[in-house]
Amino acid sequence: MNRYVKLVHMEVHRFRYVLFGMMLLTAIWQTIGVIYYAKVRMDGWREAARLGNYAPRPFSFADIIGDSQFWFALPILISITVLGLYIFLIWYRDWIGRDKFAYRMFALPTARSNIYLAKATAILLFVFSMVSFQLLLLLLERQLFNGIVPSDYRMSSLFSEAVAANRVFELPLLPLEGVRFVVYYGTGILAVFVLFTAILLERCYRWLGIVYAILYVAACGTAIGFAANLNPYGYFYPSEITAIRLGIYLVVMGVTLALGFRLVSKKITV
Amino acid sequence: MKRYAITLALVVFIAASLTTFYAYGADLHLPEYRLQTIEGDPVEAAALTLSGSYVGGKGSYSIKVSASGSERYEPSAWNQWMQNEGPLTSPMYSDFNALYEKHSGFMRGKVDTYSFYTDEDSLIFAKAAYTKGRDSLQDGTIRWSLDSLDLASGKQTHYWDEQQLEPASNAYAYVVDVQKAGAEVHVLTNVNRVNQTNEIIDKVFDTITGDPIRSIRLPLGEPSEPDRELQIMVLAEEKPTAANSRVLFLVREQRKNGMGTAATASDTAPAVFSEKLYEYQYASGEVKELPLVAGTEENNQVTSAVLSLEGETLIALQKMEESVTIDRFDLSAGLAQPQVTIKTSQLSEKTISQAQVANGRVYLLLQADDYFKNHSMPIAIVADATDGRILYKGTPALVKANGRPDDQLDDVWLSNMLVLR
Repeated sequence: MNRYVKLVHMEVHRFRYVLFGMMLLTAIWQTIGVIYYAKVRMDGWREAARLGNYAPRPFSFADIIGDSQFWFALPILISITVLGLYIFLIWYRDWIGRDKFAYRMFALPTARSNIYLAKATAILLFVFSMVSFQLLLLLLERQLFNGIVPSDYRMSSLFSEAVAANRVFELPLLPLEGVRFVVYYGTGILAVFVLFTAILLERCYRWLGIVYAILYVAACGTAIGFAANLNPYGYFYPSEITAIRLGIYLVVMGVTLALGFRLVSKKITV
Repeated sequence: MKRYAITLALVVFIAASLTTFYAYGADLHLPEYRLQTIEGDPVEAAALTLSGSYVGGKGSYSIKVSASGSERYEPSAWNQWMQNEGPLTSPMYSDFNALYEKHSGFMRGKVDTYSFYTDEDSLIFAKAAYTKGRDSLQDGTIRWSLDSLDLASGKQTHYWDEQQLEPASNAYAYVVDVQKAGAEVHVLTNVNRVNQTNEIIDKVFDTITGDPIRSIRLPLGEPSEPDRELQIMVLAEEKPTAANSRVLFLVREQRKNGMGTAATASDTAPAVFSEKLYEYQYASGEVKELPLVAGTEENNQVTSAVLSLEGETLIALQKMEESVTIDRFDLSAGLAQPQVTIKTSQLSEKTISQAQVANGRVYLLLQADDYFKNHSMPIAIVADATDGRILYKGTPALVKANGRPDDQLDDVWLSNMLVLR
């Protein structure tokens, strides 16, 4: 356990500057978006008041989040891309470079499955750190909004409304229903493990391993796709469909972990 | 420990923020509403649900309001995927839930609403499918398959039959009603062909042996001109699983699609030349024409009309802006009952936005003309279909603000009505 924690920390430590860089980029980009769109709304308010044609409706923080879709989505998409690439790089960086770090890593006096799990844990920590940072940032941005927009123009909104106002938050990133969060991120966690095992297939069998890896990812995708597409108006009842989905998820996860552990313990070469 | 400060901080940060968000921050705090009785018997509103949107604050959320409270529902892809109860919860028909619960093995994979029949002895499911031959212009076959469950013994039987049909390049068949008459089970099937009059076939099987007995093409008339077609609307028993010895057809002769001289989009509805109502008796095989029942008051423009068969009574409901008329025809006696009219002047100053007839009742939804502007709540009315007597009058009312500011509490637009049969 101690070795596993140390390995996780090592991976976090190696990525810390990139992680903080992504957080900084997100904070700067989104703050500019909030300030810009609050100013646009305030100018519109003042112009309407000057012309005196109609009394404009006050606007809320959720309105601003709704206005600035692109400004919020862009740093998030950049972060998703970086983390997606790092799923591969977290392994390949140990082979690539002047001195192969993989030599030392696989010589550590610990079960090699700990290396596999530590890398996966690190990726998940980065993902959830970014999600949590986004939540914190939204709170800070709301304070900023309250600070720059005079109270005459302002109306209150719920935090959940601000989250729901942005398509990137509402659909994949921060769904308001806890069950949806579990399903989305559960599938994401499985995808990370499947990709790790695919990478190890390539590392173990090289060119032939690429074929194995593609076939393995396709097989897992087919199993999950089959589970996702079970129709409640078909042969199975809804409770059975839930059980089948859970069963397929656990089987794919179990096979992926077992294969990954076996490859990293018995087959891997440096 | 100090060495692991970054990792530890990240773990604590993640746990704290996600837990706090899902415990306190993710709730939309939608206000709760309930259909409350203004006058009459609240039991009459048990089958009634109003649906619409809550638009307070940012965004719009679909909600349903009934006498038991309100709930948010989201017709999203997510709900289709994750929360869809499939055929287990029918918003239209109450008896299906019990059938799926009681006979889950037999009901597995059977979802077509109008394909069921049940009585105290048996539960029957019928299916019809049209299959093209190798040369689709030369041959096509319709195949019926039936599953029958003996409720006393639990024995299941399966039987089927096939029949060649006239060639058609594009056709499909489906069951519109299943009924039992003595030892025969009748599977009423609609065969649709593109640009042709649809055909109604009564396929009859022996309930004991499962042997096909006969197949009858119902004589519902022919178009009088080559550029015309018949549109046949089936009026089967309102409750799909219930027994009824007859079925009705509203046959409309109209110009074929694309053969008119439409100048504008509003003229594209095909011209209707005649309308006839037929009754078909399953036991005798007799088809006879019935008088068209509905008539409206003068100077009142009908905005929608509904025909419904409940047992031995044909009910015609016609909705105008400020009144509805209900015409009832006793099919066994062949007698038209006196017309019943319900006017909004009896009820409130609102107009009728929706009207439905079901369960021997007339359900009305009344809205103020400018309700979108003033956010006024609709009024739901339940009246006796036989005499128009008002049995229930209710309106959605706020039960719990749930932390929403006062100015958002009436931001609810309920414009649809759902009645459970």
